[in-house]
Amino acid sequence: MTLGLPVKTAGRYRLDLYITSTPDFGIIQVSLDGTPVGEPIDLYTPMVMPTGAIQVGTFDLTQQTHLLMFMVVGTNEKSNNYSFGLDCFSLIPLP
Amino acid sequence: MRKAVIPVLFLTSCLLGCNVPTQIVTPMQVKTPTAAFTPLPSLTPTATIASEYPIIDVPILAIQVTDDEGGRVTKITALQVAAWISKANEIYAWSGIQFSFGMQDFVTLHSTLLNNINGVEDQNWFEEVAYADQVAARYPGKLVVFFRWGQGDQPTGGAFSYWDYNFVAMPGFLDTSVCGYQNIGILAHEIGHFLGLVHPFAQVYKNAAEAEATLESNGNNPAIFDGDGFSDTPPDPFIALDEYQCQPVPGVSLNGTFFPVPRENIMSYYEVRTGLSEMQIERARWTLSRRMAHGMSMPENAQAPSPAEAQNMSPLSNSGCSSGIQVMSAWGK
Repeated sequence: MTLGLPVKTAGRYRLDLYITSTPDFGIIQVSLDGTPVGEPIDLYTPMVMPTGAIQVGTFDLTQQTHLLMFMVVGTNEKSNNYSFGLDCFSLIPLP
Repeated sequence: MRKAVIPVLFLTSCLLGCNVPTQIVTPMQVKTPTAAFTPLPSLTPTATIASEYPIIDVPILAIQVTDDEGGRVTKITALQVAAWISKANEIYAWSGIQFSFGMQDFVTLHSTLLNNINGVEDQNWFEEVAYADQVAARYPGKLVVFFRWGQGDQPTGGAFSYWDYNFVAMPGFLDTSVCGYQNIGILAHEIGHFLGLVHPFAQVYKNAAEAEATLESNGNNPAIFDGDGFSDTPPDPFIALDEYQCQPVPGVSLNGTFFPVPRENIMSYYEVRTGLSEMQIERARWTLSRRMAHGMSMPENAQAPSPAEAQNMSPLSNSGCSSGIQVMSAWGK
């Protein structure tokens, strides 16, 4: 699944994801503009709970809508399914 | 990767905290312990049982709560806290989780808001929980236990916690009882909730007939009594009568089936409770490790700076999955 990541001002940013983890969520790989970023994220937890901020990385972004892709690449052996739930993300400008 | 339909959920920003105020103005006053208390030797982890699990030390911070003006003082002393913690250490010994507590870990807080906290039916529930979490956050690395009065003129005997609260709420030491005795196991039980554990029973029954009716209406499936989903705690048709709760009966017969009950499990309502199952230990240790990585708080999403909310977006493309929006506020505070 791919979402548009609008960037109104070109610059260097840190991308933080806020996801949810549950007993039936999978393992996801995040990509930005077609390039995998960060390690796969295992979203299995025994209870439903938020992840808090997951820092994906820092990027030099041009003024345009970038492509933020989430690919389910597997699931924890304890998980019941391959779902995932995205709460929100923050694009934090860096000096 | 197995081929599967992959439902993708857009979760709203209400996942946690949408009803929690972001600014809490209730003043907090913290006093140091008064001279009225008998000096207390520090309680340090005391597990002497050869646990298979590495010992984890969990420091406790006890907060005695009063009203803003000092009234309705919750009846608790540092020595009484130590007695509750000592029992908890005994119950959690095999898990390797041990609790430490010293005289310097007992403080007083003047807050009518927090002194009234009783449960989800409270008129100010969200403000109470937010403030309790805010106070707990001032003691990173410690498990914060509030000893509060409750609502009205008479002190509550109830206690609560849950894995998405960053505190435990307790009553006065002698204000709570079970089977006619002071409830010495209640702190260990509530810490269990703090560590992600739930009751082994799915609901409380008034009598055996009510439990039998429920069993029959569900095809006599014992799973209807399973409250925690753990295979090493039996389905518990808990019946809130002394003959079951307080007498040492090993189980109850319902519709011709004998149900052994988890009398000794700390997350049950029976007495005397002495320990946890292996699956409960695994869950508690997992939750504790997650909390300890965040200063004893559970991680949250509510404080994302300038968040781009997922529910406001439309996928540019989808492949091999379906997506939708799910409101998650029911899961959190």
